[in-house]
Amino acid sequence: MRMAWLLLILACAGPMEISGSADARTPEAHVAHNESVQTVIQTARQKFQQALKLDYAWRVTADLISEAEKRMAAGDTQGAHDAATRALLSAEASILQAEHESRVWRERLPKTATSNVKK
Amino acid sequence: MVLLAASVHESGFAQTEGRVQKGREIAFDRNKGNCLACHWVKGAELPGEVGPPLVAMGVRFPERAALRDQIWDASRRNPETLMPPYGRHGILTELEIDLLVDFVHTL
Amino acid sequence: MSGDAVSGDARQDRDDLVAFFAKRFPDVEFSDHANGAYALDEAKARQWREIEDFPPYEPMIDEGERLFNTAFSNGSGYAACFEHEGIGIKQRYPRFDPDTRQVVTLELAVNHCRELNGESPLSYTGEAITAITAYMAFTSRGQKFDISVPEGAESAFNQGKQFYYSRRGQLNFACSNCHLDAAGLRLRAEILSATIGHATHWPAYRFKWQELGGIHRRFAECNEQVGAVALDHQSEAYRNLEYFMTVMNNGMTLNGPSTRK
Ligand code: HEC
Ligand code: HEC
Repeated sequence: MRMAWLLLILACAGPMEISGSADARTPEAHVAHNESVQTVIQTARQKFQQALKLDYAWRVTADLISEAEKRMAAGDTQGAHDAATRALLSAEASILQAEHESRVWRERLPKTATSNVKK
Repeated sequence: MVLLAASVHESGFAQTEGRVQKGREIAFDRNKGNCLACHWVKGAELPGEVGPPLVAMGVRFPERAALRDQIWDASRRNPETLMPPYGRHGILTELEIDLLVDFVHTL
Repeated sequence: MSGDAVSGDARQDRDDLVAFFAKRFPDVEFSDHANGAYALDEAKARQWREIEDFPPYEPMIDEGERLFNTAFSNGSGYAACFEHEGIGIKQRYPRFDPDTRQVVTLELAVNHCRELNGESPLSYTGEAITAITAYMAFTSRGQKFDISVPEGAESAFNQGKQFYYSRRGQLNFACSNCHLDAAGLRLRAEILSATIGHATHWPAYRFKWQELGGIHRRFAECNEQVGAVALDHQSEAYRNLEYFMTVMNNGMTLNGPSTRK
């Protein structure tokens, strides 16, 4: 998680708001460079693979990665950067979801359950 | 964002109306807010009933920030909410959420 | 074979769910949940019963019977692979195979049978396997689910259970959020059906699909609609999920194939 944020910051080479919790918000606009965008796309792809292995991937991540690639090919570096950043944030949020859910899922067993009382 | 900044100058009633209308479109769009899947909203056909009807929003949310919070991540108020975290999970953009707040606040 | 082999926890889980829905829907009989959302919507149920009088899936059952009875090139056939020659056995699927430590769905068993006899496996998304399992389901109508959770199966069962209660996808929903917490409520125009009754009627003919499809196809659709990447049909996770869900349907009467919207 930290790693990706770091990469993002490096890739953006500019100030970026860092919030306490990872989320998949809209990226701030930044001046984007070809190489840095490639780095973000690459990292997003890796995180997406990680989420797939957990059976927790989101469809939007794949969509955003292909959008970033298309824009890149069309020479729209800024658009590619925004899509890639959103792809990365969504992949991170999906991995966070997997971690969070592995802790809390039992809370959702039916409330009438007598079996829930015993730990 | 650029659009917003540029339009600050033309403020006034028409401007607000435009934002409310845009927010309404986002709320009704199945691929955007899709709020009607769960909420009754004035003018909705076949709304869902998983969430409460969105009425008296100005009274229920005197603070617009609280309304924005509910839409951005409903799990902050209720960890087991059934409402999707529109902001936290990037389902809508920050701009789209701002427009939604403008619309919902009129209900 | 029967109830004794269900581990205490699994049985408790099933009883808890039955109690939950009895309380949520005091006017709906336990057995009626086998009709899914139609058990909760009298107006739609009437239309649906009329359709079931002239079921659109009938030709597929005939096709399935033909395929089921077509001999393999070695002269053997499906009947030799199953108890009771494969007739009226679906109430015991999916089952846990202690040797491979895997959940074996009916689809998987059909392909095992083929491979055992030197035939190539059928595609899990193809028509042939759906037709064959539709025929086998048809011969099991009226039987009651009797799925056991023997020693060693707890892990598979628990993985299926965890899947069912875990939120997934960008929209952040667990299966249980819709089919338990919100069961009986309208999501848009659609009344959400209850967890109990979800396994009884597969493969099902969906008007949306315009054909019969297996329960994993429905899993994939419910995953995708919340923004999650769907898993492969017959993947380990989906088989474990089907195992958990079917144990939750223990005691319910099989009524497949059936039709759904
Ligand atoms: C899947 C169902 C679902 C969807 C879709 C949904 N909501 Fe909700 N909403 C709920 C539920 C349930 C509540 C009740 C409070 C809670 O659990 O968070 C709620 C509560 C609210 C509230 C607070 C109402 C009050 O009176 O306190 C607002 C405002 C709201 N939703 C707005 C929206 C908007 C705007 C959208 C579309 C962008 C939306 N909701 C989409 C389920 C949903
Ligand atoms: C956002 C809500 C939602 C979620 C989450 C959801 N479903 Fe569904 N599901 C539906 C709707 C809507 C239908 C169609 C109406 C009905 O039968 O409930 C449906 C139908 C089904 C059916 C067919 C019922 C029948 O009678 O044929 C099954 C089985 C099913 N879902 C399983 C699952 C599983 C397993 C999960 C979790 C992986 C899941 N659903 C998650 C909304 C949801």
